[in-house]
Amino acid sequence: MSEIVAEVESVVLAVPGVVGLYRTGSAVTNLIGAAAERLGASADAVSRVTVAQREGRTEVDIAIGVESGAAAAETAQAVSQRVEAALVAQAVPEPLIRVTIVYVAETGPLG
Amino acid sequence: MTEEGNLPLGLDPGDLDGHTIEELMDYLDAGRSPADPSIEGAPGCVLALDALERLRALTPALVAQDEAAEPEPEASWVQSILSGIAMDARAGRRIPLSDPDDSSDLAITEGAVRGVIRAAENVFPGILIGRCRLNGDVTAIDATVSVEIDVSVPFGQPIVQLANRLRAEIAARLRTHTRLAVTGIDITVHDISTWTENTP
Repeated sequence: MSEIVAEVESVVLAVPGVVGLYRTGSAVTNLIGAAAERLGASADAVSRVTVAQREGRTEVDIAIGVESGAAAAETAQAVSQRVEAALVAQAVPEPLIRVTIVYVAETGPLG
Repeated sequence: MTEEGNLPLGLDPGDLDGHTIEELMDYLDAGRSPADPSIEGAPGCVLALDALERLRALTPALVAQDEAAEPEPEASWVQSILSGIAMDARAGRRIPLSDPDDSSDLAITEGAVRGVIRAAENVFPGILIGRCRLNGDVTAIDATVSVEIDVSVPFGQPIVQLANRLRAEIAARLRTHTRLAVTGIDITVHDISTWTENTP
């Protein structure tokens, strides 16, 4: 599973318009993750991508920051398509990919 | 509910992934160095940092003017803006960007959308957005919503025209980054500052 997480993180960060990956999950989960980081765990050790198996299907949760210069939905769609392609290439059939934009970074005038 | 007085600015640290607004200001003072992954990896913190940086660009002169005008304010407008920044940075509701029958589940958080609205400050020097609310069921696809914001505007500029331009800017930003059907953007001017283009 960790290989899949690493692959997904790499794919997401390579999508144009993505400025970063952020912690997914509840406030409690995030507090634990933040505390772990403050205690010395590296950023890599605290995953930014959640991969779970539910009812035989692989579900992937991704929280991203995007540049303001492009429509958020287009960047999210590009992320989803590339992650899906990467997972299918790793023999993960019909993954459910959930992409949430949690931050829009100002990168100049719109359009 | 949080009891004011027990927590800085009456805010729950959980709103900022365990950090307080004071910690974020200290982090900005340090030039965001060394990078703290517990802050930089938390969207609420990053949203708050963006807003604090914009506030910082205006604050020194404004705080001095604010304090000169009101020597012992019970709760200064700067403090209320700080409070608004922290409250608005919460992730809030998940606003859909895709249709339910799409193969992908795409969305943007309410906190990110409030950040998009707040960043309109960049276009209008001297304007500060104190609080931002999205009214309506934003979790429904193509939801009909209204937006309410509180602002501080610089003295000497026609308020109605400024509000109209700000409204148009916010509407354009929402069209670009969401599928929300915005029915109105209500702007309440809460303060008039003495900021000018030449304010140091």
